[in-house]
Amino acid sequence: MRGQLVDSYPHAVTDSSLGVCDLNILPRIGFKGAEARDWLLSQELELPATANSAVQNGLLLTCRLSETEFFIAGLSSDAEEQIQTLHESWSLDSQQRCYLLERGDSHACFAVSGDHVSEMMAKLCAIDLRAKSFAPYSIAQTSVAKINAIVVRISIDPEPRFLIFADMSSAEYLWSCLLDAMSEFSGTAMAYSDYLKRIK
Amino acid sequence: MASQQRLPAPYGLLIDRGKPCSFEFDGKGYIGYGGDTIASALIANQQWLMSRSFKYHRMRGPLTMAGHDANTLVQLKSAPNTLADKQLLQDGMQVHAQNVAGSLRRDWLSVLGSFAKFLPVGFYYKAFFRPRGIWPLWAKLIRRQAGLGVIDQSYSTAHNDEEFDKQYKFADVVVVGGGPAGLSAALAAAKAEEEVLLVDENKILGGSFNYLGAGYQVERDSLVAEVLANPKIEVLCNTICNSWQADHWLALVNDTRLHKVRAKRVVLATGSIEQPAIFRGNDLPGVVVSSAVLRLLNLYAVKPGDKAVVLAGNDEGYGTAQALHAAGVEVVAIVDLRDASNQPTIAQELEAVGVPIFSKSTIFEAQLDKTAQRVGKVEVRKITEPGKCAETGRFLECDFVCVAVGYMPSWQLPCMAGAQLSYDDASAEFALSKLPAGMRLAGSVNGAWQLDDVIAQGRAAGENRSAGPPESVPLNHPWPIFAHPKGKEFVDFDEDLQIADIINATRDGYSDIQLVKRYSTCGMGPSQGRHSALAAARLVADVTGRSVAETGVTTARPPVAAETLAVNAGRSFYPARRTNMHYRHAEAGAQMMQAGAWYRPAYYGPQDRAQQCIHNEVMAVRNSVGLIDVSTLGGLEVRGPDAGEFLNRFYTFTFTKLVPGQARYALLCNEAGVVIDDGVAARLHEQHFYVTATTGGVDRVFQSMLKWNAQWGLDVDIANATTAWCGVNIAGPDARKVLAKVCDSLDLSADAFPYMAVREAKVAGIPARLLRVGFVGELGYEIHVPQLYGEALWDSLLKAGEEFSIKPFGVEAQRVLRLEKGHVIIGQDTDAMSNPMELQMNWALARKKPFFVGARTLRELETKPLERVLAGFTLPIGAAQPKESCLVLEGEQMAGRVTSCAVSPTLNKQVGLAYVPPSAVEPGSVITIKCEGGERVDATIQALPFYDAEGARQAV
Repeated sequence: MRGQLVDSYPHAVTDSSLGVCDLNILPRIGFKGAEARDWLLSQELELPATANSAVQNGLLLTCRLSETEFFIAGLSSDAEEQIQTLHESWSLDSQQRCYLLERGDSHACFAVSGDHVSEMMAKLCAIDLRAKSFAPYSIAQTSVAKINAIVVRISIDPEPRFLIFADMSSAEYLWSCLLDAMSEFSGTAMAYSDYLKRIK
Repeated sequence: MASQQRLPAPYGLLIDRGKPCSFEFDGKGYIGYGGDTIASALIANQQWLMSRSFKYHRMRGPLTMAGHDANTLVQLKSAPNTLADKQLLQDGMQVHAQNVAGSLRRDWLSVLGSFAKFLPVGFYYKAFFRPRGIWPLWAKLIRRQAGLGVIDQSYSTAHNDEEFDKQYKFADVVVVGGGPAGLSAALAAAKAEEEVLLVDENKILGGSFNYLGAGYQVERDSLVAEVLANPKIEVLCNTICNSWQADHWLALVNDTRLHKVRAKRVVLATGSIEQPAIFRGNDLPGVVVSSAVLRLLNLYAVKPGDKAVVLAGNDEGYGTAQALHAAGVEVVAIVDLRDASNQPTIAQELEAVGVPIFSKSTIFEAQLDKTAQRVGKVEVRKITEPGKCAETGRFLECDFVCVAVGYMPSWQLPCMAGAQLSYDDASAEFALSKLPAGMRLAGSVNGAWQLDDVIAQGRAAGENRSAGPPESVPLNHPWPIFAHPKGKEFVDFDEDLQIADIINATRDGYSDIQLVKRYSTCGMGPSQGRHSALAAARLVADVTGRSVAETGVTTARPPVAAETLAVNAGRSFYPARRTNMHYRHAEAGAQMMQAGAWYRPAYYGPQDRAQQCIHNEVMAVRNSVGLIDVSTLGGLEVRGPDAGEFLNRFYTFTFTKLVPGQARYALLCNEAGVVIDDGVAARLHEQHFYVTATTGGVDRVFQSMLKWNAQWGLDVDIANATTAWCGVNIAGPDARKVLAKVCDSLDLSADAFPYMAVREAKVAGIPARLLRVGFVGELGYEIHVPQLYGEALWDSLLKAGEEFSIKPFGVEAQRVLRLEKGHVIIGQDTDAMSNPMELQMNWALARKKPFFVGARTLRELETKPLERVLAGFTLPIGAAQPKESCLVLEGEQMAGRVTSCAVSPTLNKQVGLAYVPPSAVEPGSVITIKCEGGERVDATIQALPFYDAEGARQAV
């Protein structure tokens, strides 16, 4: 791990209260190119069948951003080894049209969940992210708070949970936008431990 | 405290008699009820006068009681221009009149009305520009008079627990208007499994059901209950649909929140706007439209007065007269513009209870009761021909006047969507047609007035189908306009425009209705022509000899109703990008500047010592070593078998022969040969280039790369990795020594790692890409590391450099350093026409290549003489310093402009770059620069670079 995750905040977070968790240092990696799909399959990774959808295998979320681009995120620090293995398995010398992208450095990652999460997101994003419109493991490549972002619904629960990936240099900006937008619903920053309770 | 004039239940649908509210209006105490508006509570206390008009400061009171006119604009402590007939009353509320000179009762500027004939329409265009130079004086005076309320600049939404916000809403169908048509439409759409958003500007659903009286309560309650119980329908009351935009994007303003909705379909059930009649004194407090009276009675249980005169141009006036009679109001007379009512039975019933009916007559003038400050009597005259009256008439005493002469459909939203509003001169009625796909109308906005028709239209619109034609109900009188020799018959209450003003506008040559609007300002006030568009069109048609249909009405544009700045400000987004070292800069006292969304250190130190700080930073780089954060530089990964070929085509230099481990300057032109970006392309692998681009240009470069590659179809992959990498430039004679302390795995010697080479190694244990580049003209290394390690790299280098007095330097010092070296900054030293020859960068063009973007144009340009050249110039310290864009003169003619200029601490003189004529480019030539303020200085042209012409310092 390249940093520390927040283990607890002084404020209380209930099971369903709206919150945002900073997952920036969780492992992430990306691959793109005409043969990215084939290479990832050779790594025995399950891939989404269509673009703008994701599959979850244990604690690994594999997002298909286009026919030829994949974004792979660890949902917890336990996925570090799997991501590292992918990293080490890849080489430019392999002569395959598959190119590695350092998504852990290029993209920030925040998890938002809890009551009113779709309503809160509607203050930041024009895409309809309500549970009835945005199916589990759907992906929206869109604008959140006026910056490019990838929004993934990562739950099948009635109240959606989202991962938001966005430009790393805008992480602080997006964090403050999320906190501001959720203040109406008493949303707060959420510790990693609380986040884990929700995904497990 | 005045006493309230209230009617018993069931009058008063909206008020809560168990919640009395005391409030003050202009310093006097009143009592109202919860659910009252300010205006309804004031009228219940017989206070009709609420405002003064914009131009003549005439007395004004509510016209519509629907928040549709500007006569009720009042001042609250924190909110000017509040509609008193819309704003809910609150206990303890303090309300003031606004736009008043003196007091509301005695406004000394009301004397202006006596001079109206000297203030004709457009007088300000004709009056205030002579003598020459007088306008600023007038402007000051006029500005003092202009405007209405006063903004409380100390007010803070945060301190008052108010949140102005914006939010998207999602629905298949948006139904605008919660009356019988809208309710029916919403239910029909929901039944078809569509998700419906029903919006209404009022506090509760029901629309006209609510104010038409208890007779409609059963239907209303049934429809409303069904809607509220339907899970497919979301209801937003107190919400006005303020604009329609392409593809059914709607702006819905709900009090303090702007909802943005893109609907698949829209049903507009927005009703109609009742129109005033035009006669002298039609603006006096107490002269109201018929629906306003019904609202007062049925929504607020307010008895508008004791004696009413009803001016009827349709049978609705008779219905209102009946309602007034039933509420205990003496109906002094019905003055019917027509020969007779279409419903003789109602007329007979009214006559039977003693209500006289004056047919084929009009109110010729309404007069003020000065004590009560509302209408006190009216003069009724026989109509001799349309718009003309007998010479004499009779006076009737009354304390309010009810006007029922017709309607206009709420045309604004459909017309914003491109619908056509047409007028039938025979029936005097409007119709809307040519609606965009996905939009339907229902109810009176679509000409349906009978309840069965209204509901049928609503259902049909909800089911996305057409309904049959509604029964025709003649409601519009064709000419309820009666000029008076003494004027003051108001067409537009907002702007105090009288009949003569509209006619005179046409006589001044503005016969087109759009021009009349702009010349006279008719329809440009807060009401946006709701009550003036029809009358103005009729008058213009009459004067210009055209039909109203030919004349048309003015264009409707958003917003439909006035909206607050706070709602528009609401939630705004200002993206901010920070590098991984951002807080290290802050800790070091950096003054940050914004470059696009990025925050970058301008210099380190206090603002009042900026120049000294920049000077010190420059000298540190020249004499020892400096460190700058260059993370904002664009970073592009170009990979694949054709990576070299791709860059060869994309940039002006040759890249196919560049071997791994080498880097080369990359100049980018567009097809027109204009320089649009630059950077460095470093070959890390046979199939991999790491390319830098300018901070502001990288997104455009990336898009351009994708576009060209789509065209060329090369086997290459391009990724924008700007934020994946953090970068620093460590530069200065001691740079190698510092780097060596934290990078022992790499031979840093000049032979092993020469100028314009690239290496991959660990720096302070962090995997890094190192580029030997020389933007600032010293021995230097750009070190790029994965983003999350930026701060660690920064700390390590600063620590390693302590013994060499390493100093962080900012963008300002870097600009001076590069200027000393004569390096251009794209966008600052170039413009939308700059080509490489003008920039003296011919050396960056690989002419032997078969192709690169812009090559063909550049070849053409090279056959022609240059028109300007970017050249270096110097000025002595102490001479006026030219700023960017100061002119280069040849005699009095503009011959060029300065693009950069700074004091060089290294060279102890001012150095700069300027576009000059080719004839002046020889070193030693003298150019004249006109500095800010007009001072002229003679600068000497000098060959570039100003510093270290041999490049020995950077190649060491």
